[in-house]
Amino acid sequence: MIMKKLNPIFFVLCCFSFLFLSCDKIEENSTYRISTPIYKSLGEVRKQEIKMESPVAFGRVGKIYSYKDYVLINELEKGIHFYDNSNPAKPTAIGFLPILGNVDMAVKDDVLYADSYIDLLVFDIKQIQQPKLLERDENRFSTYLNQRIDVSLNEQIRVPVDYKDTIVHESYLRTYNPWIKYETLYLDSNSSGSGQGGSLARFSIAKEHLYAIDIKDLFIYNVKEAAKPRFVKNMTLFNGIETLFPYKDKLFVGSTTGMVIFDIRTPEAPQQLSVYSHIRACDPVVVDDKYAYVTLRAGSFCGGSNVLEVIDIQDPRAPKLQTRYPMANPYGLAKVDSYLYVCDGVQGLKTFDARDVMKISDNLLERMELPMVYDLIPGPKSLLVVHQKGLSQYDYTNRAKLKLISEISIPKIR
Amino acid sequence: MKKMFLTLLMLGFCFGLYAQHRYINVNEVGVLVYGTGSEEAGFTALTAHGFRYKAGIEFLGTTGAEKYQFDRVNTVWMLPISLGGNYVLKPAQRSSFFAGLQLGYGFAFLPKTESNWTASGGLKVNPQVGWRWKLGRRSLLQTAIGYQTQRVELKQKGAQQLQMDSYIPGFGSEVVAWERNVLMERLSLRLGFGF
Repeated sequence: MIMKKLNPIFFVLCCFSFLFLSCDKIEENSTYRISTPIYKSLGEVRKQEIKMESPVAFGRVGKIYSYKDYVLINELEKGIHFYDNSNPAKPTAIGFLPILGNVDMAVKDDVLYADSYIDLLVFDIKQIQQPKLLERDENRFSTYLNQRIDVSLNEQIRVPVDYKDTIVHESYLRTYNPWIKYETLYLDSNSSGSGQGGSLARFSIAKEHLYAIDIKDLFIYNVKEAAKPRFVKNMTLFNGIETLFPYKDKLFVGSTTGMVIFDIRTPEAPQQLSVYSHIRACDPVVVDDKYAYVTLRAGSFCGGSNVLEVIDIQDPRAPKLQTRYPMANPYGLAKVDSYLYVCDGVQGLKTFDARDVMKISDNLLERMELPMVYDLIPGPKSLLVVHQKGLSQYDYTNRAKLKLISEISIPKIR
Repeated sequence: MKKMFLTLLMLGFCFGLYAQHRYINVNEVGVLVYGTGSEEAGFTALTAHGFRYKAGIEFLGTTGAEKYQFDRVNTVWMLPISLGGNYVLKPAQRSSFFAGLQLGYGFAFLPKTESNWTASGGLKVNPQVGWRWKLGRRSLLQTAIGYQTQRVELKQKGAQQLQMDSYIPGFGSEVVAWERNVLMERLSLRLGFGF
């Protein structure tokens, strides 16, 4: 009799207690071959003159940027290669601008903004053969390649100028519990006079303002007068900020834990509209009027899983997950008309018909075999695709059928 | 050799007991959950065969298929093989509380999309409690709530390129070896029919 009375309560209690106790306990054991840095003081680096050098073969391709008829290719931490791309079938090397500690860049009205460790450098590139350093805004950023820098040390800060290989072992235990919600992050659009970055960009120009991010801060410069950027302010967001993508009046910021949407109708004071959280993963974002397309990528720095998420942003104050597709190892992506291009790491560049967002994975139109492809820019003359062996350009007049028109290759991978 | 001998001895013992007692078969379907979202729910379908040792005490060997979602978006299929038993509180009554425990090993299988990894299984433990109704002279219906743990070990195939920066790949860095040992702990909800 007692048992019968206890029965429903007992089972409900069991159900809830078991559910709350449930989780994944994940022990990660990894061995990496990584590059360990060789250092110099920031003071020494700042003394080095920066002037255009003759074209050199690049070793480690980073971000790309398209501006007018030029393509700028960052060689991670080394500088920027300039190419004349007026004929995408035959891009011509102009020269190499050696900027130690350079990771990202943006251009507006013939003025190049580039980072150098924790400094922001401003170059006049009217004479593209001879960029001229106009200004060095020192100690603007507080992190470099996700490493926090003690800015107070100023000239004494030790910065990496080269690398050597080392084997490292890593072991840790983590718990995934669906009941614990994760913190988050967000992006903007191109204005006239400025160039175009990929979906992995950390520098972006929108509404006469340069937006730049380091690992947790958003820095805003007024660049109405391009050659005289005026620092407006920095906004501390949260750890793990990775990418910026401007679109119309919104700035989407991608982070390792989610996407944040800002209203930038008042560009000097972005208003946070919402935060869309996801598991820990690296996170580039592109958007159209209705949806944000986010690739989440697993990796030792990012954790998480490999998926493409489609998020309904019709109400930017309440973004909601529409659907999700498994991917191999996705990096950057681009949306052109109703076509979605996804750089899926070792699986190459994938073209999807995205008219029906609920059937994107069913509508894979093409897969270009490329070695570890990771970002792309749909430029006015060609689709620029950057991968581990260099830069490939495709004619994408027919969105569904890419046609290779040129390649700039790295002669030897380090 | 020693393990094989012990296994054969145990099987012989079970068959010996089975020959002397009444056969029982219970087939169960249910879910393995640890959250409220669809990506936090797995599936379980098991068939258990065994014998009634004496009134209220049953010994069962169980196998079937179970699908787990883990670490939010990863999927693994398991083929569990386990041994265990049930204690039925009031076997003579038309309905009764029962408690059970299954211990065994799950063999792991990954979906094709996870081609960079290999998986091996691990220990499975599943205590559960429930309610059982007699439907006739031999048949029964039961529902059970349990706490199920299943271990799975994942190993990356070969070396993989790794980005030095979080969003740019390559640059001479790579994961030489990567192992993930995952203990999946779930609420199990099952509905079973037996005879």
